[in-house]
Amino acid sequence: MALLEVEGLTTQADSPRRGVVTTVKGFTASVGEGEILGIVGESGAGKTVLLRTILGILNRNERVAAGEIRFRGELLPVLDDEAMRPRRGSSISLIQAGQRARLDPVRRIGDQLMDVMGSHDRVPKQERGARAEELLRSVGIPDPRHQLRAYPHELSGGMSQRVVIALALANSPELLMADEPTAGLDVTIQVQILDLFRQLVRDTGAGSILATRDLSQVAHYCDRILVLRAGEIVEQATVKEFFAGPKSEYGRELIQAARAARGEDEEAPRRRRRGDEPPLLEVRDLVKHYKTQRHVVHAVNGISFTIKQGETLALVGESGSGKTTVGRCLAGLIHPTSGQITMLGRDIGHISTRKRSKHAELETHVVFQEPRESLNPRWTLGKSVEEPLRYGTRLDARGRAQRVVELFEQVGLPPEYADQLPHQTTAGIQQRVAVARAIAVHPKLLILDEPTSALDMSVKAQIVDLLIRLQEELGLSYLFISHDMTAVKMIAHQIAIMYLGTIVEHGPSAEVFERQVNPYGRALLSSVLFPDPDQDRSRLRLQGEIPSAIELPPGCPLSSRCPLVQPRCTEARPPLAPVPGMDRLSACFRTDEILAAGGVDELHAAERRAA
Amino acid sequence: MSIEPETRALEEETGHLDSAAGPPLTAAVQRGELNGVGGFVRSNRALAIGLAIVAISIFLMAFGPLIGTHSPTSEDFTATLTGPSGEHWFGTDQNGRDIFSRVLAAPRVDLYIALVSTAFAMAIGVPLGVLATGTSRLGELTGEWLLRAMDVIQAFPVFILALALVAGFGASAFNVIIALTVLQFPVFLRLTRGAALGIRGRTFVEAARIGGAGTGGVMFRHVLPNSVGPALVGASVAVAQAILITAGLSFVGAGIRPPTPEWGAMISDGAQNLITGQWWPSVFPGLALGIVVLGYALVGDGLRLYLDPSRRR
Repeated sequence: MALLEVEGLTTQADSPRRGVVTTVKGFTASVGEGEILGIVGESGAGKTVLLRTILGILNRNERVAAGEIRFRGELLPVLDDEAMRPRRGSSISLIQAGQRARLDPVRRIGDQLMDVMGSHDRVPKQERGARAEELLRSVGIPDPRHQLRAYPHELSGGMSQRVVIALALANSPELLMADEPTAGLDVTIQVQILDLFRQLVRDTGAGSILATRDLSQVAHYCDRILVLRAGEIVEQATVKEFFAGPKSEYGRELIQAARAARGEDEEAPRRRRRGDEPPLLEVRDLVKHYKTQRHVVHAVNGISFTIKQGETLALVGESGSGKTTVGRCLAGLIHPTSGQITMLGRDIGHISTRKRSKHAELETHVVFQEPRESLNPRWTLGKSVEEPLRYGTRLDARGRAQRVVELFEQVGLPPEYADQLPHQTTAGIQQRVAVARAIAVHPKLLILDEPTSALDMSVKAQIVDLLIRLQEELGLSYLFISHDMTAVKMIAHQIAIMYLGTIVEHGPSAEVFERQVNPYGRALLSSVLFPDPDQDRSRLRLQGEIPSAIELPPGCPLSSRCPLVQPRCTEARPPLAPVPGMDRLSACFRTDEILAAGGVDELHAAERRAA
Repeated sequence: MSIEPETRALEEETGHLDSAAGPPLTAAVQRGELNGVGGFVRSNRALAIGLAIVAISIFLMAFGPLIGTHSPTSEDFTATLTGPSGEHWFGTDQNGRDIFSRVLAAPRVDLYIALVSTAFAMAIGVPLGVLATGTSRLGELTGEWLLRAMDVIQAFPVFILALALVAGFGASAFNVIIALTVLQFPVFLRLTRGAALGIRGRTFVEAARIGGAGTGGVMFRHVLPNSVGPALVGASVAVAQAILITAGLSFVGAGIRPPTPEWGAMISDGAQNLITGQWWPSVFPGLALGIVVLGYALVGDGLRLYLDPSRRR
C-alpha cells in the first residue's frame, strides 16, 4: 500500500475575472515510503494548489470538485480544517519557497521549533529542547545550541531555508512535501539544500514530493517524475525512463528546451569568440565601495575586462559577488569609486544616464530581472517603450509612435500589445517589451541583469533566442549578468566568474564550461545541475556561504571556503594571471599544481588520499 | 505564514489565460475590473452606506438651502423654541428659525469648507511628499527640512492651531479654509512620501532614469501617479476631520457666525437650552454632523480595503 494515494483529484478556484477556473484536473498519483516523487510544471501548472490541497490549506475561493486523497489508506478530510489540523506539520508537512518570509521575524528560531512540536503531541515534552538542537544539527546549521537563540534576520537566506526544513521535520513527518524549496537561492546553496533534502528523506524513510519547474532538480534528486501542464498530468514515469525517452510531446519539448540550454543540441551551436572586432568597452581596475553609516561595503574590488563590438561577456557568480554593482556602474546609475570605464575612447564612468541620452554613441541600456517590476504599472506597454525616445531622439510624437511599432515588431510582438497594461500580459511579453525599450535609441551596449532568471524554461529560451537574434541584426554588445548558467551557456562568448568583488576565472565561454582551472570556478560550475540524471558531478562542494563584503578575508577572497586552501592563501591575494597553455585567466596560487594534477577535482582527490 | 504568494500564483494563472486570448480582450478586462469595483461595493455594506451618505451630503451641498420647508435664515419670534411638529419637523430655535431647513442647508458651508480645504491640502501635500523623497543631496536636504517643518506644524494640537490661525486672521469661511489647509497638508505629505519612497526604489523608475529621464520626469511622470493611493484614502478621512474642526470652530464662536446655517454654531446655540429641556436645537444638527463624518470615515475605510491587495483573501 502506498503512503499517499491521490485519485481523480480536481480542484477549482473562483477568479474575479475569469469565473470558475479548474486548477487541477483529474490528478491521480501515489507516493511510496522512502520515495521522492518529482512534480514538474511551469508556473500556473497547478503544483502549489495540489500540495496545498493535500495539506488541506485551500484559500476561501478554492474547493475540491472531485476525487479523494488517501493517506496510509485512510481518506484525508482535506475540506475539514479542524480534522486536518492534527496532521498538518506532524504526519504531513510542507517546505515552501521564500525562506525568511516563512519564519516569524520577532521570534527566536528555537521558540519556533518548540511551537511546531508543541502544537502536536508527537515529541514528548521533556525531549523537545534536545530535539530542537538535534534538528538544527541535522540540517547542517553550525553551532546549533547557540543558533537556537538567533532571530531569522540574523541568518542568511541559505541558513533560513535550512531552518524552514528543520521546522517541517520537527515532528518526523511521514510525508514531506517541498514546493520550490530552493527558489531564490544561489546554485551552490541550492545543491547543498537539495543534497540535504534527499539525505533526510533517505534517512527517515519518509515519502516525499518535490515540486519544481526545474527539470534538472528532478533529474538529480527524484525517483519518479510527473509532468504537469495546466493542471493535467501529461506524463508519469521513472526518472531514468523519462530522460531516456519521454513518451509525451510536452515532455520531449521540456527536455529539448533544457538540453538546448546545455548545448548538446546541434541546433544551438556553441558561440565562438568573435575574431578581430574592435573593443567597444574597456574596464580597468574598477572599484566600488559603498559607505554605510558604520561600515564600508567592498562591493567591487578592482576588476578589469574588455567587451568587443558584437560580443557577449557573461558575468557570473553567487549573489553578493558584486556582479550587479558592476552592471550598475556600466549603466551610469552609480559612479565608480575608482578605475576607468572607457567606451569608444571616452571615460563614461562619471557620465550620468541623463547626459548619456544626449550623446547617442554613449547610450547604454539595461534589461532587468523582474519584467513586471521594470514597467510602470499605470503605463501602457507602448508608452513605456516610447519614453527613451522622448529623451534620446528628436522624433516628434508621430515619429515616436512609428518607431514604437517598429520596435514591437523587432521583438516579435504584434503592435496591438502597445495598448495593453503590464498586468494584462505574461512575463514573457513584458520582458520582450523591456528589451524593445532597451534597444529603442540604438545603444551599442546592453546590460542584461538576470533577464531570464524569473522566467519559465520555455519563455527563457525564447528571450535568449531573441537576444541572440537582436545581437546579430544590430551588432549589439552585451554584458550578461546572471547566475542562470543554462542561459549563460547559450548566449555568452566570454565568461568571467566573480567572487567577492573580484574576477577569479575568465575565458571563452565554451572552454570555461568545458574545464575550469580555478577552484571557485570549478565549484560554481559543477554545482549547476543539468537535466541529465547521468551528469558527471564533482564531489567538490564549497563549504558554507559567501562571506560578507564588509570585512573581506585577508589574502585570497576564497580562502575561507576553498577546499584547496594553503597557509599562503590567507596572507596575500593571488593576481588574475594568464594560465599557461590556455586562453584563460585565473586567480589562484596553485594553478601550476592544478594543471599538473589534471584539474581541480583531481588535485583535491589526490590531497584527500594523501591525508 | 502568509497566504499571499498562493493568491498571487492564482492571479498569475488567470492573468496567463487572459493574455493567451490576446489583445481583443482588453475592453472585456476593463469591464471586468469595473464589475470588480461594483462587486466590491456590493460585498462591503459599510462602504455602500458610506457612499450613500457622501452622495446625499454632496447633493445637500448643492441644493440643501432650496429644499427645506422654510427659509433657513428667516426668524419667527412668535414660534421660538417650539418642539418638533408637523409645521416644524425638527422644531425651531430661540430665534424661531426652522431647524430642519437649517440642518439641510448647513452642508453648503460645512462640506464646502471641508472639500475645498482638503483639495488645497492635497494639491500642496502630495507634490511636496514626492519632492521630499529627492535622491540628490539637495533633494535629501530639502526632504529633511520639509519633514522637520511638518513636525513643527503637527506638534501643535490641531484644534488650538486652527483656533489661533482663525483668531489671527479673522473669522470667515476663507480663513477657516486656509487654516484647515495648513493643518491637513502635512498629513498628505507624509502619506505620499511613505508611498513614494517605496515606488522610487522600483525597477521601472531606474529604467526611466536609464532612458534619460531627469529628476522631474521621474518624480512627476512615474513616482507621483503611483504614490497617490494612500493620499486618496486619506482624503475622505481628512474631509471628516475638516467638517469636525469647522463645526468645532463655530461651536466656540471662532468660525462661521449665525445666522448662516452651520452645524457647529447651531449645536453651540442650542446647547444653552439643553438644561431647560429643549433638546432639539442642538441634537438634530449634532446627529447630522455625526452621520456625515461617519459616512466619510466609512468611505475612507472601504477605499483602504479596496486598495490593499491582501483584502483579496
